[in-house]
Amino acid sequence: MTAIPTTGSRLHWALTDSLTLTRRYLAHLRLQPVQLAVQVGFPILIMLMFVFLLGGMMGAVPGGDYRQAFVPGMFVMTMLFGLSSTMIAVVTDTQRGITDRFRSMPMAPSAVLVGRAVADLLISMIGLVVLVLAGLAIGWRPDAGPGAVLAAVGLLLLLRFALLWVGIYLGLRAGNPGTLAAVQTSSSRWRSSPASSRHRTPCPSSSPPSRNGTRSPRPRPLSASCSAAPAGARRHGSPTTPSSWRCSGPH
Amino acid sequence: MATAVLAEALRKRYPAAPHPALDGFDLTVSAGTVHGLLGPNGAGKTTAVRILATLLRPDGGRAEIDGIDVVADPVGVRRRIGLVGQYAALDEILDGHANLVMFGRLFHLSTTDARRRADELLEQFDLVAAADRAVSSYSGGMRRRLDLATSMILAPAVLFLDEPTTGLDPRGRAEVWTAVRALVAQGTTVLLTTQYLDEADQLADRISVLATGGHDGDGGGRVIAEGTPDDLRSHIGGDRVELVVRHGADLPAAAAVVEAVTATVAQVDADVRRITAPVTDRMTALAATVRALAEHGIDAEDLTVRRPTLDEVFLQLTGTTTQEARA
Ligand SMILES: Nc1ncnc2c1ncn2[C@@H]1O[C@H](COP(=O)(O)OP(=O)(O)OP(=O)(O)O)[C@@H](O)[C@H]1O
Ligand SMILES: [Mg+2]
Repeated sequence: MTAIPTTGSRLHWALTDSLTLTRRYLAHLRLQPVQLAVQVGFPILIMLMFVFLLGGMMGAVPGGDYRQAFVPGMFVMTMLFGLSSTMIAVVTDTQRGITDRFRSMPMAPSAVLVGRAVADLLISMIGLVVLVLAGLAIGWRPDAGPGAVLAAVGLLLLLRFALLWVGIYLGLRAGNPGTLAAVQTSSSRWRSSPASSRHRTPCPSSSPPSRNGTRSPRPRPLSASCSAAPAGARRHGSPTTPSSWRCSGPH
Repeated sequence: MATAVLAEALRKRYPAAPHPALDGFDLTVSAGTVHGLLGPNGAGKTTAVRILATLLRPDGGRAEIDGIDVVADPVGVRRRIGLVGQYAALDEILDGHANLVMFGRLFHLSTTDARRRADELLEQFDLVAAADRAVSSYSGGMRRRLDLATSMILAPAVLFLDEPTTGLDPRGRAEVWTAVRALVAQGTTVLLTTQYLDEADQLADRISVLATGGHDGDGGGRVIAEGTPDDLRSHIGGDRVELVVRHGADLPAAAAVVEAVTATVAQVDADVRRITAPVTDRMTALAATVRALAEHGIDAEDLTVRRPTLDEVFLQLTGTTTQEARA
């Protein structure tokens, strides 16, 4: 029977296979525009909430406007929490058996990881650009020259790139939803912490997600993340999605 | 005939598992044939397939595909095999056509060839109408067929099918069986795992029956019987006649009738008023039983001839049922 033609160098195939898989992840975004919108829009939502809803309570930040400190902090947070979206994607593929199918094929094994990494980095770039624009729109002004700002953006993407591998590693190691749930929960706790520890209460994982996000009279950013998440999480639709996944927003 | 799949004394123990999943698994499959691996839950079927498909390293023993060692040259093995796992491994978000093109590209077909092959396979597996729908909207049978189509992109020399019809309705099963037969007609060697005796019977040229581990501390994946479906049937007494009487009081008399007709020892299940016995000639036995029941004035509620269940096979082969073996 036919054996697979192996013309071309290994490097050539490694690149081609990576490109095929990058295309796969980008196709996912195209087919799920809502998910992309939530991923990109969620940090903006948080930013608006902290700046306009809670910003007044913060008082003066040494060295100037609260915004000047908060908006760049939001950039870093967004890059940090990209980790769990990478992890979810890796675990979903593993649980569906797609990773096994890839591994049983004569393709370049590195492509599975490289494809994931490139696609995630591209998505993060889009998200970061949109977030920077939103920051500028609400009055954040970088106090350095364009060169320094570009360098900072480069550093942010480097951070995302470095953590991406941590996400892939954890995703491959985790395999079981329990570990995943733990990472998710801790990242949703962290997410609420840049401004105030008062908002640390994690989502109750057993209770159904609150749709309107107003369980207490006080606006709670975390409730917002509860209500924003299911749209994305459900589309992801892993058969074994633990209930606590609902707790964290898409990133 | 050339040997397509060879396994010798394969051993595998998962960390923290109480007993080995495979404890001396042997298998020889001739090229161009279908081999059935029959065993209950936890017998080690998936473990064996994963080792043969280079996804898992064995702790001991040796395995070869087309003479190529799975541990020494996994890449060489991967060029020759297709794997259809126990659960459909597809991209749920992409549509059927896009799945086939993506996997075709990963098999290193050119974009044009990948598209052409995708169209051919959609045609062959009767999925043209669903080609542009996301796989998440497919039924179980459609998923399975797309899964099979994916593993056939390059017409592999050896195809592994891990429980291809578990969870499918009769129509879905028939669809998958037809697809498998079509592949075999093209010369592919198939190793098929199943929990259903009739599936192995329908598709396989030879069958290996695997035992579950944990019984007396021994490991799973030992082959307790091997042969053609006919060999196996003569081993386990072929079909079963099953009689349900209307009145529990008739049970002893009915059992005597059945034993007289079949010349065997009947199993009596008093709770459901059921008598079961092996038969050699289905129709003769059925007719004789009906006649004898009428003569003795026994009121029957139901009378059927059926294939033995996996449980009965195990009872015959090992003297324990699968449940007892697991306990
Ligand atoms: N990843 C794992 N870690 C630990 N033990 C495992 C793992 N996978 C399987 N086992 C154990 O190995 C044994 C064989 O499992 P395997 O999945 O090969 O059986 P199977 O015949 O495919 O069963 P099924 O019909 O349920 O698919 C079982 O006792 C199972 O509990
Ligand atoms: Mg299995």
